Amino acid sequence: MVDLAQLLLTGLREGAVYGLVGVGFVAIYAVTGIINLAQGEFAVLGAFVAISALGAGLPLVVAALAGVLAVAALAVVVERVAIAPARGSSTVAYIILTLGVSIALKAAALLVWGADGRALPAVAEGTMQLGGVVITPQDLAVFVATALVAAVLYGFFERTLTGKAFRACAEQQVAARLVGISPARMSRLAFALAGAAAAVAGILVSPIELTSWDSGLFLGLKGFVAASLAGMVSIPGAILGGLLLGVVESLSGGYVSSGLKDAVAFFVLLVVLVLRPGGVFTRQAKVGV
Amino acid sequence: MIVGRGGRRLDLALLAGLALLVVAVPLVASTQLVTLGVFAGFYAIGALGLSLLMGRAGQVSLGQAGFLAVGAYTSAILVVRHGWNALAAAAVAVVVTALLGLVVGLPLLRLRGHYLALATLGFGIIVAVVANEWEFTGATSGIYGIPKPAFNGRTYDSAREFFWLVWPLVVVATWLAANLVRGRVGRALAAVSDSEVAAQTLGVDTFRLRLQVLVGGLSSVWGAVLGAVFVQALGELLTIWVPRLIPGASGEYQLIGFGVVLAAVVVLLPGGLVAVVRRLAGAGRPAAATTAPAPRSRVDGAATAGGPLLARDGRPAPGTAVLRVTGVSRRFGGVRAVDGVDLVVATGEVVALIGPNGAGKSTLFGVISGVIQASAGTVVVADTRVAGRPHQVAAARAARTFQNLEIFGSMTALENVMVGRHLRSRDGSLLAVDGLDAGYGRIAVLHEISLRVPAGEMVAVIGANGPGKTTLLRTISGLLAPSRGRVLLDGAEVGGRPAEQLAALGLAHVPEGRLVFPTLSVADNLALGAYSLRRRRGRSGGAAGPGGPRERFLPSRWIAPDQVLELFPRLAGRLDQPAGTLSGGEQQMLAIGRGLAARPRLLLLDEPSLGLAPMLVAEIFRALARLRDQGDLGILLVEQNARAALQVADRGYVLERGRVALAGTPGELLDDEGVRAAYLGRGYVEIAAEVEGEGAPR
Repeated sequence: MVDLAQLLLTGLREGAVYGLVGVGFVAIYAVTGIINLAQGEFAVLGAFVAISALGAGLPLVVAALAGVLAVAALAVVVERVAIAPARGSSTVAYIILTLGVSIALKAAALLVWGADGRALPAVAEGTMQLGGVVITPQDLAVFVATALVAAVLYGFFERTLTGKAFRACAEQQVAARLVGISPARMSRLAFALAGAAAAVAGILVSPIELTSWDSGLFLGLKGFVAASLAGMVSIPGAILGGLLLGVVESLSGGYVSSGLKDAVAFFVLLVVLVLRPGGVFTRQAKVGV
Repeated sequence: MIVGRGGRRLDLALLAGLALLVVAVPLVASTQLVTLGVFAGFYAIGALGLSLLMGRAGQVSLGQAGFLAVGAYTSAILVVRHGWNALAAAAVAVVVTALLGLVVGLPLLRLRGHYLALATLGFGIIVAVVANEWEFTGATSGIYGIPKPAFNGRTYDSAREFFWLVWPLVVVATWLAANLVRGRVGRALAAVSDSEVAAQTLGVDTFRLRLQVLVGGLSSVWGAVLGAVFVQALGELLTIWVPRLIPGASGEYQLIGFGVVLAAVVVLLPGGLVAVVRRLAGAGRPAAATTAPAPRSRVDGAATAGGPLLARDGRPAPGTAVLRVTGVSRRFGGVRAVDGVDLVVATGEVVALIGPNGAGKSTLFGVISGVIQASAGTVVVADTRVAGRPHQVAAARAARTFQNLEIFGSMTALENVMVGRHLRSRDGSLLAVDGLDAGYGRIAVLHEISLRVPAGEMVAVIGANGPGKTTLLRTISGLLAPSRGRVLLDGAEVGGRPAEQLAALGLAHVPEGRLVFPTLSVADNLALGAYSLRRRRGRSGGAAGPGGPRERFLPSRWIAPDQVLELFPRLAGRLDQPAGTLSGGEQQMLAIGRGLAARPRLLLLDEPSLGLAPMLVAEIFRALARLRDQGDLGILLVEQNARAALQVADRGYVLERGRVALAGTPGELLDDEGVRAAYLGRGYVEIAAEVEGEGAPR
């Protein structure tokens, strides 16, 4: 029982991180129809910037914020330099384009921060016990930060005009343009949001698993699995999808084989995709039309 | 597609050239270059498979490396553990990988686009994870000690010999792939069997493989080969040159280079290298797809909006008389300043009036421009006879300057110019469309459309099915760029400006199909209708208007303008409901309300009656008539329901095959036999009667 609870805790913690990365996939996809394969690299860069900022003497929270802001800004630059000029390209072209961006970012990380993995320190040392389950402060930090991001996003999308304009642009782009909402502006906003959410994920996971230049691949792909589990259009769904994926992964790692853990996510992806081919999100897109 | 007509001959020539290169290169090139060539060959073969998949179906497979790994492991295990001959091992490896491709491909190829890409990537990663975990594949240490291949007692161990082994295979594979692509059977099989072709026996970097195909051009078999060589050379150059340029740098730059090339190719060369080569090769021939730019009238710069001159058919042809002065005289007391002058000025002409001081030149100018009354004779500007009314002359679009300048000294230069535009905005036409052509891509839908919507009027465009009417509205509102002609909103040219900017200029377009924001509440839909207003206000100085910056946080129903709710009381009770749950009629009301929320000057309505019950149609048309009667809003209504539309409209245009076939008052149109026969069915008579019964129409 304790084992199971521990595995669940680990799964939820990792899942929260996948969910945050998944949020970015959804934000960008909803407005632009693009799957941004550089999402995982955004997460890695967020952690690296935070590590450097910490090294420069900033307090941990400030360093983390610096990482988030830097990546949000970087994501906007990526949108302007690589995505916006190619507007109207085919799906294939966009896939290759974002793949190119992801490779370039990966290489940039390798150049600047080197080949060795690095870690941020955890928010606090020590552990606590809850009915035999070991909980670290970093676990709590992951949950609190994820809840905070979710709350901020909820407030943004439900309470602000810009947030609603964003949703309008995702739901009915033609009508959105007719009331004066610029899809180009919303696309930049989507990238900024995606970059920020991914950076939060990368920063949160860095004390638990070393951050290295190539750890973005798995983070990104699992974020995508989280997003597509929820249908690619729902931001709260992406977080839930991440939590689900994290738990499945953690349980199969614990009970089957830890080596195959990474393959499980993709097995889940394949099964979901094949059982609901091409259309996990068609259901939602039809609402009310 | 891959290769056009005559492509077969081109392919043969290329093949022959390639064969020659294959033989010659190793003889003359350095070992380093030959090694580079060997790897380029490996990648070329691998890239061919991807090229087929991507080019044929437009699908992305990111799992090719997985197949490559399976092929490589199969042959390596057979050779190392079971002592097989390399050729036999390779053959079995191809078969095994092909079968795997079939098994994996059958379910996965049902996926499309992003999903296929990510699913195949997932497959590739599963292969990698399994290979690293499984004892059978040597886990992390892999399989080593693979002997150099030997056929016919000959061992291929030098770079040169490898080159001669690999490149003939490249040539054969390319030829096969080209045939597969062109053949009918190949076309049918391609979707499932592509991955088999790629199932070769060497492990390759995933992204290199993709890059090659991409650089070569996704739809081209030759591109795969070209791209492979290019990328290999690029990698080599990067590893050689970058460390020289940046001391201490090493292989990472190669990675950056690949990433940048990958992204840059998509952005800059969507067709890849092959497309560039073809473009260069075809540069001598005229490009079929280029259409000549629309000829622009010579008077373009001078012409302004409105006025009878343009109203009929755009601009006068060159050489048309635009000013006729006949027998004009002017006396000041006993002095004859101007005496019986006749002159004609045509478009495209400069006519000089010369004479000494006091000869009467300025007086004649005064008469022509209407400042001075003529004692005798007539002045006709365009078609307007001028009788001493300067503003009429200006309305006929004659402009003049003055000897003593007559500048408005108290106003800025800009304001002076703005005064010159007075007429354009005063023309009465809130919307003026002149000689508009538009369409989708090369399909022309609208031809030479000219129409006017004055403020305070409702103008109906009727016509049979077909895209013309909606296309017209889409072009006016900026969803579509006109290919020719002008759209003037309040005298300002707006043609070609994107829709999202026009909303802020007071244009609201209620689109066909209503397109409400389904998951957002009715109140939010209305609030977003005013989005352009608030963006504008926010920019022009912050705290203007109630709420100031706090406006960004929506007080739930404060924003819905009372006018909208008063006009459509049904919406008032549903403000918190998601718009997607409304009935069709309510959605239509919401869509109109959303348009009105921006306080537009011009409202475009696309088929507001479509799919609605007669009761609701009447309700909506009553509301439109009320709006019109308020006086400052211009409404352009597109309707299939011709009778109902003409009952409320002030004027109507009949659109036929993308042209204005007829224009006039509703009475004139309703009396027209052709219109009656073509557009006025019986079913709408009752609705029209109902609307009429309310006294809504004028």
